[in-house]
Amino acid sequence: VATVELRIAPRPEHVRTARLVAASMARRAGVDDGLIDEVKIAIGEACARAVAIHQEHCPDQPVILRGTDGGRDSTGLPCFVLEIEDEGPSEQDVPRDEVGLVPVAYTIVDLTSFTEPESADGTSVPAGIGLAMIVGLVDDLVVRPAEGETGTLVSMTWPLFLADLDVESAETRS
Amino acid sequence: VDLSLSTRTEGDRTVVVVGGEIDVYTAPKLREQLIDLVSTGAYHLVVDMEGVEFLDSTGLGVLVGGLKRVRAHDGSLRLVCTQERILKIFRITGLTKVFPIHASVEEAVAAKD
Repeated sequence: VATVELRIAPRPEHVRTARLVAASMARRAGVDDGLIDEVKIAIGEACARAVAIHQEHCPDQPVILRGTDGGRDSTGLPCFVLEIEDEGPSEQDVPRDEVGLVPVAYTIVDLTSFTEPESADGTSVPAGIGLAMIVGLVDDLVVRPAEGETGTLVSMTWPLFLADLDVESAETRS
Repeated sequence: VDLSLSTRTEGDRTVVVVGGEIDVYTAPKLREQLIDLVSTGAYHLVVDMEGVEFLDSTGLGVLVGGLKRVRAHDGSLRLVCTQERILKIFRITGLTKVFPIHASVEEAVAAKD
């Protein structure tokens, strides 16, 4: 199990760094090439959301990105896991159903609430839009309160069973 | 890779050629460009996205903001995009219903409402 943890100061210029690190980790873990774009978009949205929340509530605290290739998805298959943890008030922009999961209906974007970022530096992501994009891209998504008193953990997984097949055939050759 | 922007005039349309990555860091530059154009009377915009390598929700917000601004002057904002990975972002957010999306600048410039 290989785990990488990245702490970034909550500034928009670091979101690209997080995307590149996440894409590199995903490639190395064996996520299919066709899914790397989705990894970049999803982690970019999750990270931009966390950065905006930190800038508002706790600008001195780093946003934490964690990646591991040793996860298991909801069906028990090996997967690559990316987590973004923020320290803001828990889930201020996340609607939840009765069991605490993000409802599927949330993927439908309400354009009447889609407003342009108003802050001078353009860092405020329209409420909910980033998460809506993640829901639209990632099959296996969990949004829950982080451990401790504050914060939200956004956890996303991508399948690795294709990589497993490659490993087996490589071992057969050697 | 940063964001590159250039503009040119074709008839009554202003073509904005965007390249690189539109994200939470670079999107404000695109927003300033669109605001500048509208403030100088360019109300019919064609945004050429063929050179865009990455687009996030902040970038979408800026494009929607640009659309609102030109519509306030009875203008238009058309997109040029054939890249599947960028089109997918417009689809999952429902914005394909909001923006006219064209396969080429020529097509977008010739298009009428």
